[in-house]
Amino acid sequence: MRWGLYVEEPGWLHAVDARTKWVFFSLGATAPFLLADPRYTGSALAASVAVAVTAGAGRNLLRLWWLYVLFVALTVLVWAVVLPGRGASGAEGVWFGLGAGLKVVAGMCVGLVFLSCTTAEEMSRGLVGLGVPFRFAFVIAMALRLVPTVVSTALDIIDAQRSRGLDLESGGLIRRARAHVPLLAPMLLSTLRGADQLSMALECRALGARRRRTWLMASELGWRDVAVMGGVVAYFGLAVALRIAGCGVWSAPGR
Amino acid sequence: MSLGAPCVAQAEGLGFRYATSSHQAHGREWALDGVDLAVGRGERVALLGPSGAGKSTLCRCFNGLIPHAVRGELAGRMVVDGVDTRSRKVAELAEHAGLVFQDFEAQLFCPTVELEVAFGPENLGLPRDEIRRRVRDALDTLELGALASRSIHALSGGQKQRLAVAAVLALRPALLCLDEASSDLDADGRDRLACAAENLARDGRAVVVADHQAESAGGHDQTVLLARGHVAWSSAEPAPAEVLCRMGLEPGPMARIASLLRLKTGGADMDPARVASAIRDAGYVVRRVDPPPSPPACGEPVVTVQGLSHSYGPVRALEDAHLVVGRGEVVAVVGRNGGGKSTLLRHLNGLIRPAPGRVCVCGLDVALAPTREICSKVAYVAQNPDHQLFAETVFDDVAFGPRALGRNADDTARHVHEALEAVGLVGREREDPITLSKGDRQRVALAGALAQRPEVLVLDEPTTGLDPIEVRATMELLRRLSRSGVAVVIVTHAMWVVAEYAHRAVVLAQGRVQADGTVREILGRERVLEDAGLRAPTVVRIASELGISALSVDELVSALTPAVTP
Repeated sequence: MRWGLYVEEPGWLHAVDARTKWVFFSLGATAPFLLADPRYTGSALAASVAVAVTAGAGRNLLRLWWLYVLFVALTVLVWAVVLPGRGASGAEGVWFGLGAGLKVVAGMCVGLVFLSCTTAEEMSRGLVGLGVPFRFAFVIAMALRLVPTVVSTALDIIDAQRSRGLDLESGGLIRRARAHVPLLAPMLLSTLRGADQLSMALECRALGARRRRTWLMASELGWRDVAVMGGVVAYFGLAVALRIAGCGVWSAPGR
Repeated sequence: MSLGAPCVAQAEGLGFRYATSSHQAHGREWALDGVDLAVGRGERVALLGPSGAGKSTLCRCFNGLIPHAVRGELAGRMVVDGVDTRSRKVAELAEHAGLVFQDFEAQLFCPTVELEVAFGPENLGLPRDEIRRRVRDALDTLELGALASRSIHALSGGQKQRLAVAAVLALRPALLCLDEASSDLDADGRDRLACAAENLARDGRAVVVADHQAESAGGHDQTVLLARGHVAWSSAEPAPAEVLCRMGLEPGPMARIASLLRLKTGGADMDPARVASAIRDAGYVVRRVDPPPSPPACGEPVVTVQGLSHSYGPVRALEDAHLVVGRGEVVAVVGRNGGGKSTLLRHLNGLIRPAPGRVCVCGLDVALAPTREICSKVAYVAQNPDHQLFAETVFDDVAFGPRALGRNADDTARHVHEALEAVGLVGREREDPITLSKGDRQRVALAGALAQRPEVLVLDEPTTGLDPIEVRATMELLRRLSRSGVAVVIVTHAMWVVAEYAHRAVVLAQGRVQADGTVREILGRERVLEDAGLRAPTVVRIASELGISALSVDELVSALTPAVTP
């Protein structure tokens, strides 16, 4: 069973250069944060969802929809409580919370599309292409690659301990927290051993042997890159323009 | 090293002592001590020895991981391809010596086969055309050319292992070292890896294969036997059974046959037809054709699986599987990597709830019964013991199961003591399980399962990473348990373990049960085994060449008698 987000079936975003994907992610995920009104952040979210579906990341979106709904609900709840204390009404708190929740989820959606369409190798190649030192780029890509491995190991450990009668589901909060102790030591140990082995395997494959590194895959910008970059720059520009014009920006009384 | 062959690797008085706590199993003793060794160009070396003999330590010396990446004290020197390993970084030595570890998953970090192989040459800063050429050559050598654009997640275990080798090979090292690289592979995967090693040697590279037994190391020109960090035997001839026994090591089946029947092959020949012919030439004839009587019938069914299917997303892992296991029975589930074996096992204790299909264990319907109730009947030992060891002492770790199942302190202490006695760890209750050797950690994990007092014991690859003596100790223990009425279900690739210790074998391929019968029946069905990527143990195949049925060396030898000359 795999726990990574990368989607094998190629979509339109898969086909573009790694540098374009980074630009798409950077501008696409930042744009919703320039806005606050839920009508505008909601539109940004709708655009992100449309991009996700057409780029082939729809299945990942379905896997994580509960997380997004939970996040929006919690944000609304927090602002509905916090904002009235600063002179705004409860309804204004809900409205502001909704705007904040939707913009974060819109940004997360773009991140999800990026992870669904970009391999770890492309991430480091793209960053290097944008001028980031290779070692730094490689560490970021490796960290992202390790997430599904760690999740998979955690699930194996949970299974091994459940087989010995570990009950993670019953009892109060403290009892449940204590029940997780048998999972921590094997997790820590497996992660450390895995990291140790990974670092040795990387050295065995000549990582850092030369100052200059080359790439099998050529980085070339084509018409698709121009189209994607043009689209995402226009999207970001629109968000900037709306913010400057004061549209989509909403402040609660007293802020 | 054969005379006249130029030297690729040379160890002179090589010694190493680990410094870190993670190697406490080695204590502060020398893991390697005064090793002198020469490996020639185009030579295949089988580096053999039991767990803790120093095989992995020596492998890590070849490519400079020792002393650069592993802390400790190095004595003597290792020269590979004319370079003293102390004088260069590991990454710089990668062009001279390549190392493939046992855990191949940890060595793959790129999304596709092609990019994985290109990773090394890219790090060397080679021009794109040269990278492309090396990728193509390495993939062709390992018969992976057709999979170049495939995602590594879509590969089988055997393909991933060969990919790990190809990735190292693309660096064009003068010496390639495989450290127990085939232990997780099915017969098919091992064959392809052995074939690749042969091609490399023909190509002028030196290949060192570290393993527990000569049989699993494949064909080789030189045998180097390590024992307690010393070279105990180094010759073109395999170590005779007497030498191995004198050092407290278990001889492999070929060495035992050669020794018991005094064959001239001396255990070097691995081909069943030639060994059978050598047995005939030595003047032996078949005394008995009928196999020994079958073991007594097992008790009433305690595990019943009916029409079980399971999918991981779009991938079908099990399809309409059926299985019955009787009380006191040892059933081996065998098949190719990714054939659905582990998925079947995980249904038996409710880790996966059956749907569709039905699984009943000791009268409990696994789909409906609470996990705790199932765990009181079925104990599961995961493939990796490190996934379940967490407590500060062996006692507390073994006691976790009984405590979680609500047993009182007296019962828990008694069950823990009995379990530790069964696995031979009495007196080590206060030790930290994490610092034990792999074999001992496996025994602690097994003791944890035994302390649950199960009626059914389920083990996923319990012999992986253990040397033959440890494997035998584990399997003897399971045999004793089965005689006391515990049903044992194991998944394993070690077909000799199946032959000698299981009552029944179930062959799984592509999620379907292809065959289910007594071990003797199943091992006699070559076609079924072949289709499932399996092969009967060498002893069974030699016996078959002689026209008899034998599951072990003892059975084979007892069926033969010297011809009476008039």
